Amino acid sequence: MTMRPGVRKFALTAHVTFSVGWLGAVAGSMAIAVAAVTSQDPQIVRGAYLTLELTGWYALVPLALASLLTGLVQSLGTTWGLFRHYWVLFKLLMNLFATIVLLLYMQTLSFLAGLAADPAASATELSVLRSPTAVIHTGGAMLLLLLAVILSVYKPRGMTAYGQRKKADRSARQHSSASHPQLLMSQP
Amino acid sequence: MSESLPRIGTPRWVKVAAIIALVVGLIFVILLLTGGGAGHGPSRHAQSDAAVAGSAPSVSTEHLVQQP
Repeated sequence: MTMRPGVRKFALTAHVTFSVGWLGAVAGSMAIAVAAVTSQDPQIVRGAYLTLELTGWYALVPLALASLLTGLVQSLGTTWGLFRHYWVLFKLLMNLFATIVLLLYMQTLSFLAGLAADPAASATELSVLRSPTAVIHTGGAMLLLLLAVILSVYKPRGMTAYGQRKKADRSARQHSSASHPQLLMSQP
Repeated sequence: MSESLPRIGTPRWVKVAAIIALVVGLIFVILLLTGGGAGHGPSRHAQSDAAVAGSAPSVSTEHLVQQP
């Protein structure tokens, strides 16, 4: 089932918007995470984790899910398919991995934000906020999303075995139609 | 009758990328198993700081965030 050109462009626009928006949100989160690790001001550290949690739930998670969903629509609604080309398959796997890790890490972020919001938290408890995990996670996400952008633009060649079979079947059908024109009458 | 097109092998970039992903994944799993890596979830804080694990946040953040 292939989308019409107008619908396809809309779907592509949506996917690019959500995906690049996700990358931008990760970049902003990374800056905040670095500030949380490097700042000597406890108020900034507390505020950073509160901001990270809000950014996570209201920007990162919705954008990640929207990128995944629109990516599925884009691949399934065009001749690219989901499993025919290696670059599409790699993007799907990276998106799935990044989204799952994000959803899991939001549990940690929510815990840390709760700690940051607690005015009675001790210095020992607050020392947990100095952990570089937020920087590591945002850095890893940046790397994956940048790789996804590169794959999207360059679209390196390479069809999977499944893709090659589908291509062979399509070629066979076209060859068969060309050899037997009367079959075209019955085709939609 | 379908024509059988010659099967093209897996491109080099796919093999290299798969190897890198496998190595990174193995490192990730090893770190998780040895407890030295960044786990996912609040439970890891119980290992790193017993004082933190024993005391739940006394102030709820619900007034700050409405989680979906």
